[in-house]
Amino acid sequence: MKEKRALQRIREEFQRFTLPEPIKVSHRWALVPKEKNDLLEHALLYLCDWMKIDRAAVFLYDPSRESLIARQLVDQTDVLSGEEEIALMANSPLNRLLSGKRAHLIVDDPNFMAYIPLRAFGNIFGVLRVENLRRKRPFTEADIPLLNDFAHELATALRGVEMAAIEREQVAQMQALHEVSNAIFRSVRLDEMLKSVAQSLIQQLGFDRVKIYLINREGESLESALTMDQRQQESLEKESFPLKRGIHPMVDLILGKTGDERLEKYQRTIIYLPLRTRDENMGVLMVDNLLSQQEIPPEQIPILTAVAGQMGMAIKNARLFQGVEELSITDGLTGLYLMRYFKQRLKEEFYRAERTHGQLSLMILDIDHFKRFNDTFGHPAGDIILSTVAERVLSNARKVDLTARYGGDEFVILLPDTSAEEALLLADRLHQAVSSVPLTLANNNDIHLTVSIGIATYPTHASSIEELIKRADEALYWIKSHGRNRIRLYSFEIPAKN
Amino acid sequence: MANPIKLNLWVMPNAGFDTQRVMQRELNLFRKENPGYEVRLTVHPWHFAWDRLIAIAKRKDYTDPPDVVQIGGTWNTTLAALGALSDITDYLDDIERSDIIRPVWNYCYEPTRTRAYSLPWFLDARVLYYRGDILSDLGVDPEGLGTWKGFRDACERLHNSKWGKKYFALPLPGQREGILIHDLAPWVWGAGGNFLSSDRHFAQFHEPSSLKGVDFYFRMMVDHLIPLLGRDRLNPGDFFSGQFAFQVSGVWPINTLLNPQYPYYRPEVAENYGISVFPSGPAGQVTYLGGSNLAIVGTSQHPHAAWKLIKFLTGVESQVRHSRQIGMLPSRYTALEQLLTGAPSRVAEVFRHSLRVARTLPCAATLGTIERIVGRASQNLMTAVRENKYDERVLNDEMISAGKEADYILSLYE
Repeated sequence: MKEKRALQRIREEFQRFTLPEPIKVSHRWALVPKEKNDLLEHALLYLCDWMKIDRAAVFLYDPSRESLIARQLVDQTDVLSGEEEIALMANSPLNRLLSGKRAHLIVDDPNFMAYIPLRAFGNIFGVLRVENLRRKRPFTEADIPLLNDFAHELATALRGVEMAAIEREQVAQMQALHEVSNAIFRSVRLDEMLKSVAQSLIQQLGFDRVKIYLINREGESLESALTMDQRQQESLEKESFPLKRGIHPMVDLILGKTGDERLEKYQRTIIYLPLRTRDENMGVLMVDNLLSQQEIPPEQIPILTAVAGQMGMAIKNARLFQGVEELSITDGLTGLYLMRYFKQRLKEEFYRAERTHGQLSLMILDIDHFKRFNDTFGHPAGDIILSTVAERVLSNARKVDLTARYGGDEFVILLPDTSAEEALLLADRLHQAVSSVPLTLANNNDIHLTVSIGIATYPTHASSIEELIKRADEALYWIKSHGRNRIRLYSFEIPAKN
Repeated sequence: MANPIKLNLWVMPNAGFDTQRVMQRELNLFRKENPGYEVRLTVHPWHFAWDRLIAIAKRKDYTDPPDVVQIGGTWNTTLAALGALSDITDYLDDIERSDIIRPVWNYCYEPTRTRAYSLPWFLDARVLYYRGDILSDLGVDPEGLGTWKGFRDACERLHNSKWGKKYFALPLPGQREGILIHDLAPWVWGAGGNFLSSDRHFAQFHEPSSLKGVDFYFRMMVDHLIPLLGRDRLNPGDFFSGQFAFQVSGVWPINTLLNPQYPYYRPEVAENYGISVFPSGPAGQVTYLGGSNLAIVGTSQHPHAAWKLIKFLTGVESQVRHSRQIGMLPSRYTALEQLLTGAPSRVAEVFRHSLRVARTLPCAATLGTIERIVGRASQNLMTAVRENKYDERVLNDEMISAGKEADYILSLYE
């Protein structure tokens, strides 16, 4: 009767651990704290108080180390995550306890200890150790039934926590796949799509780092397209590997060679997945946990495989889109942007400068005597002149600058976040680049190209987009009426162009 | 009165089961000095602490995360790269930087040495313990232990004498974990070798000078000066349990294993032990410096308060009290001098000297993986020794293969 009451008390105590929002699963044992440590801490504190025990600890069985590792230790009212490991030697009393050959183990004076197995649903979780070193009260056979009941209830609750964790994990994996899939189709622009996938993989699956390599358009090399770390910071470092066997295990993987020792050794911390469509290799997705040294759970592999499958097709589509977009926004002869696209970007940059109280400069560049060259050497030569000047401008402008064909022999260059002084320096560089090397035409005629460049800056010279273009044009017009081959920054003394 | 600021502090069991008591004493003093602060202490074993810090860095929604954590010095770079720690560089102006024991700064910064993420709390340097009674009977002058040759000669004399039937020379650092990178480090450095190139792009532990150091150590196993098993085919124990004439260890045994109040204290060891600096190799004298740091967790809502706690715990007075209790060395010169003033002069002299020649492991984000590679190579070499197959070719093959593996890992990150 007394024992029955005690057992009832134990059960009630475990029921007390019910979560505020219980997980909706069919197992009643899931109605326990989410974390194993919380359960053990509560249970052991309760045990020490209830049975007046000095110290209690739970050792969980670790088959990979063939040992028992102290998971939680309570010294009356103090909680300590213990640092104790008991190696299980063959035929040792603890080994026999775990294998079921013994029901319990009492270690007599001077230790005043008892070990009770934690067993539920035919599984062994570890052992419960109780100690009475301070009180010097030995454990007796009379204590065992209560300890056994407690251990059984605890093991059952542990099982409940594990089951709940598995279910939570499964839900999380499904959610992760859903989130990452959404990320893949969030944008049709390649760089935005890759960034969104990397962010999502890190957030959902917690990798230390995600790297995406793409095969370049010529199909000659594998180049890093994006590297993002746990802090969601992107690395600017670029890598490129020729697509030849033996260069890097990742390249070999794309080329169909498997069985690389390094890849196999690290297959639980670094995963490379080829990004493919049905008939084309697009690149490689690499994820790793090399810093945290935590194994990538096998449950994540199918998710990654599914993601890589979707990414292959998405990358192909994004590249097609990029191609079409480039065709529709660039000039076929010079490769420079068309004015329609330029104006859209100019609007964006202008509003940004307005909002941030920044500066924005604009240059209009005109090829001196272009009409004369065209008339003298013919239209094909005129085309060569246009594409040569465009190439020299593009290769000397900064990455942030945007160059477009303004019409005829005029180019327009947008310089975001650039003052008038900085624009003058850049204009000088472009002027030099165009005029320093003569151009040899097909009939061996060397021609010396020069350009005139008019510049205006927001907000110094203009307060609207239209005004900015107008001022730069007026500066250019002034040069043309003063002999050409010069650079001129707009000033209010320049008369308005009719 | 405004609500108190609540800080969570995580430490490792630095004083075993006494850790709570030892730390609470310090925390009470902190609270007294800073009445508006409450500190909740949790003691986590080393491997749990790592896993939980990673979980916090990755999930960010960990219930009740810590504000201040103890970390192993070699964890600093990796945890910083994972975003687990707060940048404390600006706080460093608040302390006497020159008072921190110099080489241990390496464990505070990220590799480019521009940003700091933790501050040294306590440290330990490897020295050589020896049994004075046995050496005296063998006619070995302890001064001779100062070089590799002198040390090996002493081990051989012991092995070939009547003492050799009762005592072994040098124990393995740990039966279960095998030989770790920091066990090999002083031998590799003493031979002029290294583990990584200074830019951390390549492994160097398979280069000739490094191999010389590894070989010296493993030859001692081949020649039974470091036994792999005891006479009863079980773990042979160690110096402090009275089975060996030498042991490489840090300062902590002096207050614990060699202290008469320690339950497993062996009088014949405690009464006859001597210590010496780590034997000097062909490239000079060098020893391994390890330690623990305190850091502010990246998710902390109270970084300024957390820094206040770190400043207190790494302050001279707290360091002296704490180091005494846990048997480690403080990380400040001033605290070290105060602590060593009360120690036997030989102990003080050896640790002072050892800190002057101490080195740290390289700061690399992938150091944990490199440590595993070196550990695995050592394990394979131990197997070769057990199977009587160890020779120069086996050593070269094993270390070159490990070096290539490390190069691959470094190419991915560093």
